[in-house]
Amino acid sequence: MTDPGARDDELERWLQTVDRTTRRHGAVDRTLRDDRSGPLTIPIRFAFKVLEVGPSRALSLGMGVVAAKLGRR
Amino acid sequence: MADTPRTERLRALLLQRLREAARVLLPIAPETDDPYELLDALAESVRDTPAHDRLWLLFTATAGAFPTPAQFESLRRRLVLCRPGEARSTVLEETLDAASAAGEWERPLRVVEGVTVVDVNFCAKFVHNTGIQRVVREVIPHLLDVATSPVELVAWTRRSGLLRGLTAVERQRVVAWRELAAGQAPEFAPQPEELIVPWHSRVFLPEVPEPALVERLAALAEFSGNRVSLIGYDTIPIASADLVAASEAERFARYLSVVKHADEVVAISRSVADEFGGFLDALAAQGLAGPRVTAVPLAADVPPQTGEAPAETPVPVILSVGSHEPRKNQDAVLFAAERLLAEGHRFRLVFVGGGSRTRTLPFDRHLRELRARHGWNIESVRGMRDRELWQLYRSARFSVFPSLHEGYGLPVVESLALGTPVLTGDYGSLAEIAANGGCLTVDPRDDDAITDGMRALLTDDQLIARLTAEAARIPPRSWHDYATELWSAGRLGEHS
Repeated sequence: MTDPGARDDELERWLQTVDRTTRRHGAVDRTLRDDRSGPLTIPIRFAFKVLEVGPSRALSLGMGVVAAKLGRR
Repeated sequence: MADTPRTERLRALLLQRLREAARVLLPIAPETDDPYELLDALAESVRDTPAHDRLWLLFTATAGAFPTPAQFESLRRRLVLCRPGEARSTVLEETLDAASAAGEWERPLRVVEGVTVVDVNFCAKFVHNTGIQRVVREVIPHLLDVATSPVELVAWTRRSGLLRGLTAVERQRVVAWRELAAGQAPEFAPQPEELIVPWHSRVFLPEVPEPALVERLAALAEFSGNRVSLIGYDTIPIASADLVAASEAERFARYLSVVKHADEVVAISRSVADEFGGFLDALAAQGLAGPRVTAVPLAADVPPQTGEAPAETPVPVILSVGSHEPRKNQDAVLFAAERLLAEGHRFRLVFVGGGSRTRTLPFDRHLRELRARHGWNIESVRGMRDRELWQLYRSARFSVFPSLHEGYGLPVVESLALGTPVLTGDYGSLAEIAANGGCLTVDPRDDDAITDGMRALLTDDQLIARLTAEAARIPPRSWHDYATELWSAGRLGEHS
């Protein structure tokens, strides 16, 4: 038989660990990576993209965005 | 230990996810509001019957993220070894890293069974629109039309852990691209914000996934019990690694870890099917059979000509379309053009297509020098609307596309669909297209052959007339045709 107190502690510790780590990422993600984030965040979003995929591909993606906005290729 | 409101919310989400998993994993799910109790029942059941698909779903529901292959194997081994009563603790320990680093804790989860789940992550999130994105945005609306079973369009969560439904804006980017580009996209109703977990379903990958997604996709393909189909565009980053950036080669090599566990590869040409066939041959050394590979050629929808025929041009126009990169061989075309202009031929050569500035700046500078020194009519256009491009194709005497390695060759097909003959390569997918007529083929590595081919097309009116007549006889192939064949060849409606 599992001690109910011990089992609650185990799940609670697990949830609190998840909460701590996801909370940090969540605010940044919601602010910068949503469609709802505004144009003022573009430089920071670009910086994140550089970190994620490297400067060359980030620049290529960025130019693609501009070209697509203009309906060009 | 008192719950904070936030952990209370996480607890409620965990309960909802475990209930979704229990719905398909347990014959009778326990009536309980306690996630720990439900996890206990699920973990013990999976420990007793540790089938791969059951382990994969238990991990996913608990962590809010698909497992990587290493995470999956670790949970499987520990569950097999653990004693009765220890399974739930084992699951919590083994899922903690994934739940923290990649888990999604803001929306409920839905397990979908017998559904075709289409991963359009990149096209949903970005407006970049060349190559693969153009194919995806053309074919998906038609695929939704021809589907004979339910289809879910999905993207990945922010932390690349799990699939989710599309937002209304993302749906516009994928299924209404042409309208969106024309400023007339229909509004889509908001969808429920939920995670999508395929179960005994078909997962279809029409894009080449970003590196961050590959490990979880590979585990999904190998362990989840879902069938995986994908479009095989080419193996250029590996087979022609000398022609692409090193990062592209590494990215593609990792993507192959998904391909080798997939069920179906639908190649965009017979040539690409042969390339993937070569990879399959290599898999025997790993004891793997790999996917079935079939070929379904892409399509090219161009608008019918309306209004007047293009005006006569003072000198013949030669068109070279394609992104500016070494593989496309623009330098060889320019070299041939310089030789022909020096011989006294007169024509206008137009290069169309974007590219990295490290490539385009020196190329464009060279064109300016040629214009200034000789008065030659050679130009490059970076960023041309489709409508303008189609008009240019129609006014051209011929187009030139001697690419060194192509998966398909959309510029050749578009040129032929618009009635303009093409000088193109004599092997691979380009030779396949050329076999239908309308093309003069040459060895793209032979500068003399390219020069001779361009000279012939410039001077031989009978040759141009014959190729133009051949191009006119090529039956049109629409994206709807492609989608119909793709659905069938990729077995997209078969789920188990």
